[in-house]
Amino acid sequence: MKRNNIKRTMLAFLTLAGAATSFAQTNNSAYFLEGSTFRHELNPSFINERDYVTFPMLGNLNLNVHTNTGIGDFLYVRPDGTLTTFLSDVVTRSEFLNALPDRSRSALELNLSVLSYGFHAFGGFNTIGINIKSDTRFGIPREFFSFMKDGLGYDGAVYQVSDMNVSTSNYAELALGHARQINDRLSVGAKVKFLMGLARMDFEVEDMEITATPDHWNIRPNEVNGYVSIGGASLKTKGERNDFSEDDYVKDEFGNPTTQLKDGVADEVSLDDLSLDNLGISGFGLGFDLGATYRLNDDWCFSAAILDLGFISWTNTNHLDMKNEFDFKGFEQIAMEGDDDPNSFNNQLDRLEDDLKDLARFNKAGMATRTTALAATLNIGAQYTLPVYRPLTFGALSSTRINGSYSWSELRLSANVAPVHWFEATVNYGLSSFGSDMGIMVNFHPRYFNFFIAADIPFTRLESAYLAPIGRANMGLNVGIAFPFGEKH
Amino acid sequence: MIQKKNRKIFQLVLLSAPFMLASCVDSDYDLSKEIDMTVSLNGPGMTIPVGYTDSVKLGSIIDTAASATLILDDDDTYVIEKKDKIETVNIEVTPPSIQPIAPVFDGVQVYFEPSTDIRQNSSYIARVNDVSSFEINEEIDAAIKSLKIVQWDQPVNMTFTLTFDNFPEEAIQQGIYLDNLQISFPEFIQFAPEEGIEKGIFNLSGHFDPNSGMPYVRTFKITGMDFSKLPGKPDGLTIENRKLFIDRSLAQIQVSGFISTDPDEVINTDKLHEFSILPTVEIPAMVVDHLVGLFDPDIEERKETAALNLGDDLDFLKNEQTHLDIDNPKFQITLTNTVGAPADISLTMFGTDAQGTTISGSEVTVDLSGDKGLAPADNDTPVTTVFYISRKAITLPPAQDHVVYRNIIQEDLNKLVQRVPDEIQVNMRTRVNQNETHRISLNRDLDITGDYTVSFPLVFDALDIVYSDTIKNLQDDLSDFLDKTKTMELILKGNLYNAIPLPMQLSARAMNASGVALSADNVSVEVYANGSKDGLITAGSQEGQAAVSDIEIHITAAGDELRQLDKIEWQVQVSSEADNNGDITLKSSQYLLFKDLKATVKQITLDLN
Repeated sequence: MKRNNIKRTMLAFLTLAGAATSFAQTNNSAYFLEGSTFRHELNPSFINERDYVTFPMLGNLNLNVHTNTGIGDFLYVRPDGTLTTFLSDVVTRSEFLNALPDRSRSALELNLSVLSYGFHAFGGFNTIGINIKSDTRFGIPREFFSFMKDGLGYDGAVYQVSDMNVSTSNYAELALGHARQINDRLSVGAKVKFLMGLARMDFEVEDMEITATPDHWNIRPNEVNGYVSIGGASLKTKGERNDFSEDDYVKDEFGNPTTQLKDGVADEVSLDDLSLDNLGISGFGLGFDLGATYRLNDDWCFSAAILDLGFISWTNTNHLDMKNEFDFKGFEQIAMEGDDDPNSFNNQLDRLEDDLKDLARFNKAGMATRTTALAATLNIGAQYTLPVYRPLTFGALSSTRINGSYSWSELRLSANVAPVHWFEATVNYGLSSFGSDMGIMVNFHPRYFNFFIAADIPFTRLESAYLAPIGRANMGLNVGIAFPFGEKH
Repeated sequence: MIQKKNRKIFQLVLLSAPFMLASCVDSDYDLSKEIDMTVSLNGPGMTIPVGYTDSVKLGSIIDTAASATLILDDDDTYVIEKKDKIETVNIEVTPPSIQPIAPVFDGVQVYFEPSTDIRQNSSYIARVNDVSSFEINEEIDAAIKSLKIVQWDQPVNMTFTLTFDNFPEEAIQQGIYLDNLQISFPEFIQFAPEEGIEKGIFNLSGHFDPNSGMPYVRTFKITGMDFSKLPGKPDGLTIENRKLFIDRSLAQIQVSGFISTDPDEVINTDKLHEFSILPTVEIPAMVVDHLVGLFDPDIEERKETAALNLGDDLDFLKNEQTHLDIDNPKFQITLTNTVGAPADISLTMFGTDAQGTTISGSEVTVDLSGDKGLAPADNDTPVTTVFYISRKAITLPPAQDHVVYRNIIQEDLNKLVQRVPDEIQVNMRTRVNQNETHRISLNRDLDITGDYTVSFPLVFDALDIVYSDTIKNLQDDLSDFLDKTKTMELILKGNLYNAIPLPMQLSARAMNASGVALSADNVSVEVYANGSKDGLITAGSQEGQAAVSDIEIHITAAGDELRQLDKIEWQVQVSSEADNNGDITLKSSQYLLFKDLKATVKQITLDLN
């Protein structure tokens, strides 16, 4: 039982290690498939051939997992063929640490199109979409793993921990888009998105100093913050709830709780106490997508788009911070007379354990409205149609996510074919911050029915039981059902 | 133009490319199988500050409250002390007694004749001369080896009688006069001083009328006997086979002298005729109250046991490896003597271990004889002798009446506690001094009472001590950790401040729950002091100045045996220089103190499977 728990913990850790980036909308494989219903998600200047309406809830389901590390970075094959962890002595530190990126990042993204409707009118193509988007990210610096593998060294060290975080952002959007052809060569489009925040939580260690020398251990959270914005959720402090545990009281010299509360404990909060009984909207925002397409000639077409320019203003954001400093210079005057003495080893060890628990506690710093920018994406594409076989095109798409330390970029080269008017497919190769992958998408779009499925398959070896990527991976699955109708434009 | 067939092939290849190129399944990675969760810290390790301990004073390690025989003296020095009483030595002696003496005289036939003495020219005189003897043959107490003088509590009345038979009363009517009639007794018979007696010879004078029909009777008081007056016995009688024997030849009674008539009485000589005089002497039984002589009672050997319960704290001093050279141990024995004779005492002391086995080399014999012996009672007043038996001279208390202090130097007394015994056996053999005669009162309690104090100040010239202690039940707290640890190298470093004036050698070993040592190849606990494995921890100074030693404890484990670890036995071996001349003193204020303790995890492998 214990062993299974350890394994599960290990796998979860391996899966989630790192920090997220990217977003969830539509698979980039669809960029050059002109029959793809949700192509306009990638560039609002793209104009669908026909009007459409999606199958409710199944119009566009997109799930992406990105990691710049894989299980092969944490699990190693021993000479006898069994697997072991990076903490095994058969794995050298250089073998482990040299293979890790500076910052291990992972992201889990979900985009669910509740309903989308596109139609030609007003001199162009118009879209209305209701989407739910979820983006969860983790980031851990390499120093953390170095610490796990190496320890601190006999002479100790001072670690400056930063850029370690976990974040989840969940919101719904109502997107209204319009694209129109300016002339034979140029099309432009734009979307305006009305955003409704559902929940957002960010916990980030921006600056934590860990001094671990043979004489002095100190953990000082200079800048460790958390932001919790969940509409309708209640996150009350212990003082507000008047709910204190034994550990919240100052202990006497023998480790027994007194009636005096510890400093700051009344302001402590715990996510375990988060009440989710009356969930609602926790913020509003506005976003824009802008795009343009320029057809140079019959063979070449260039396009560019900037997506998600905007913000969400999260109301009633609980600002949490971590202020308790842990300081340990060794036990003092360790009494050798047993536990009756307040300075006995066990009593001092209990106090040390309390100090460590206090360190990990968050205090409620206040309530505020917090505005976060959307992560903007810049897509620039070029498409070449093979003159000798015009159903075959080749595309190059550069995607750049502009999101601070979570920014990433990708170059994807694709070969696209539409052998018949109701079917098209693409294979592509992407090289990104998360490694390389091969993508494939098939899109069936006969009249009145459109089904597509796309997958990004990491260009790496896969584990045999669960097909988990052994190396860093960019994985995605995009599936949807829509109903095109109307005349072809 | 691309042919139609080629186009289809191209499209097929295009669609299948991702599956062929992008990924392949690596069967080496199979998460459905067991993953070895053995984790190791093989890097440069890490060091954790542990801190410092409180001063661990000897007073807390060696708690006098836990021991009935451990005290602190005024100088804060530990002293092993045991006091107890000595069972009273009763001396049973039956006072000698002498049966009644009644020597038989033959009697003499006498006839009055005119005196030729001018002084008695008108008298008639008769010569009296008779001799008798008696024998003393008494069985007396075996304790009495010689008798010089015996005396009774009260003088005994000896009765001397002269009986006249067929006295010529018709011729002599005025009675007679005893004229220088002497009764000679043996000189050893001691009479109370009175007029007319000298050296056992009584001169009887005076008028007596035998016509009264009554015999002449005189009593004399005998106070005792002085056997040194016996011819050739200046030292008295030697008692052999419990026999007090005096031959008749030495115990004669002679009656000699004259009786005469009154010079003024006219004697009808016709009526004179022989008559007889029969002397008798009667001495009743005599019981000796005190004597002068040699007295050698069979005094039962006293065997005292002093149990030294040191409690758990100092039990290590009873280990076989322990060798103590205590600077000046003391054994005080106080004896009160009611016997008027000095006594020679031989003390034999030795230690026994918990099994009652004599500790080899611990026997010490102390001679308390002669002028070092037990002082006699002073004229029936008990005298107390206090013996301070010590290895080195001590200052005796001021003198007191009827108390004698003696300091007996016994240089090998430290042998008794070279290893602290569970019990000290004290055998005390006592014999009344036989070198000279003594005056002994017999009709009173004769005994020797007393007590003793064993006192060993823990001040050493040298010592070897092995102190062991065990940290037990590690499995209770650490079983989860120990079960998962395959290899480990942990180093605990620090500075040890030692204010105990002893160099120490610290070692340790790991044991399982049954107390069986684990193989050092698998689980080892090594102690380094001042850079050397099993090195010496520097001794503190006698003045209390602590010496600092670098200490490292290396705990290394490999293999599965670590999971059996349940006990760590610590052993402190103390070996001083050969002769410190009493410079090593254990005081409760001496201490050990660890500072700058740091734990370094150098290498550890945990099996989390």
